[in-house]
Amino acid sequence: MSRGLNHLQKKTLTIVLFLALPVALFLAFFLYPIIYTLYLSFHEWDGISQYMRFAGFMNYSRMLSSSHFRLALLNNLQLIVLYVVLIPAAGLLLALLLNRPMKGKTFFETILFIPNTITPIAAASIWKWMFNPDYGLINRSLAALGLAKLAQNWLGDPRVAIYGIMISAAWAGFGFSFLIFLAGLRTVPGSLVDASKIDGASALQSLRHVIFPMLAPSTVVIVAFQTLYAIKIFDLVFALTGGGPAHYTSVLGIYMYDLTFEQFLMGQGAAAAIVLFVLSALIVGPYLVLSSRSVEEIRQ
Amino acid sequence: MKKRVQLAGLYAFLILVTLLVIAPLVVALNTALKVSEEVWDVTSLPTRISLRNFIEGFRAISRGLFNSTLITIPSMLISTFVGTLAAYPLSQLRFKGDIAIYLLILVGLYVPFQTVLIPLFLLIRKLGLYDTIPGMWLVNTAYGVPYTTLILRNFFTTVPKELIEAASLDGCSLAAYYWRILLPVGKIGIAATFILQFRAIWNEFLFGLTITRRPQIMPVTIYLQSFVGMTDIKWGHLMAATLIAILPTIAVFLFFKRHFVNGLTGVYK
Repeated sequence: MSRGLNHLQKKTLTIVLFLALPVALFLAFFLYPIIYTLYLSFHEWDGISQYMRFAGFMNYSRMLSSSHFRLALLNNLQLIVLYVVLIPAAGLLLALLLNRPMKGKTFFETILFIPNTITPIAAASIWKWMFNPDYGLINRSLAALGLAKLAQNWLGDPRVAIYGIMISAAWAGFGFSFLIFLAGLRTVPGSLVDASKIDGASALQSLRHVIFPMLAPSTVVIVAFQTLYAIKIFDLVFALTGGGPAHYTSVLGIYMYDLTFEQFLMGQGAAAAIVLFVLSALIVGPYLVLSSRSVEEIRQ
Repeated sequence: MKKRVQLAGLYAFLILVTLLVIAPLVVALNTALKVSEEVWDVTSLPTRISLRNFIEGFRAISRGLFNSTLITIPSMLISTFVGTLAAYPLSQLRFKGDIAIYLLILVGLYVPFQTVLIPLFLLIRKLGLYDTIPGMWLVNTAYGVPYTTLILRNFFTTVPKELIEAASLDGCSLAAYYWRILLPVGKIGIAATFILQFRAIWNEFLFGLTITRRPQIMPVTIYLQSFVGMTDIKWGHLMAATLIAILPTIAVFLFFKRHFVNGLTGVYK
């Protein structure tokens, strides 16, 4: 490096050089677009013409009175329940069952995680076949079990379709909680569990008082990321139903896409994008504050 | 005796769950191996194995597979490289505002892509990168960097601080430390980052949908989606194409399972 620089200057220069590209990418691809989207959400624009028209809060008030928006928001809320309660519960159960020395452990873990490695579009493709009303495995199995009455038009019936989405989403998504819980359980020292048993704790008691508290960090991570995922979900729904029939399976991501890229209502699309952003920030804000505290603790 | 019954019950339950989880993939494979008249009976096995569907399915998405390879490999390399640049000072050097910059980059993990989509679309068009492979490199890199930075930073913080002190006493400059010591020492973290980025970019859909248009550019996920969206689906072809499209990520997962799990648990902690 240059002769004239002292140690501190050299250090500063190194830091600036290393961080320049990542920070520039952040400014250009996150900060600028978020501000621009916010700006757009107060305007009317078709995406092509030279001029935008200031619209105040009109895009937002239109959204609130739109039935598509309400259906989508309701579906996102239902998906949050699925992703934050049902899927992690299944993941935790399986992780607990596999958290012992046993034959075939790796085999089970590997197979159970496979659906999580594939693209949601492939999951949609396979589940569209599984749910085929006439020939799909689901309705065929129900008929074979004498439960033909329970057969549904899984993706076509407005009352049922969201459950069809949820079943495929659970299949594609539960590997994440499973894996995080599995990793979390490895940090629980076996000696601690043994000690609690010697003290006369039943299996359930040691689960509640020893294992669950140690899983708190994993649980926080899962709740934060799964809520976020349920809010921004797009690919799977887009490929399975496109939000149909008649918006009954739509989600905010599809609502936004539809306004922007199908109807060219950029302002309204931007308003939907801002709602998505605010919802995510409500979830992630507290999580970021928590994790930044732990960063500082590690530093000190 | 009670123990054995319990163990048998445990295995029975796990095998049942595993069968349920794997069933959709088995159904897809079973359907894909059949001749077209037999496809409609989903529970029957093929009376004769036919690779016809795989040939047709491959033909339908082969260009997408090629495009996705062209998009994924460079994006994976570049986003991981940029991640090492950011992770080095953020993990090894203390400076004013380090936590602020770290948190800013982390914010990138949580922003829904829909929130940046319209300006991104306009920006990419202005740069002349709309509907091009380099455009996909840029986008996948920009939105991959928060992930790669986070994983790599978590790995790099485990590198002992004594190493950088010793290196500086030996007269090794900070930049040389990055190249000659940190990268080789952190190679496990880098491998994990590669694997996770491979999966993320290969599976990516929304950017493909919005910033590519021509079949020569579109990634395989878009090919598959337009196949799924057809009104009169040839299920044998579609199931074969689906299995072909997911083969790379499943293979990478099975071959590099340790790195994969390391990476995932390294991001989310």
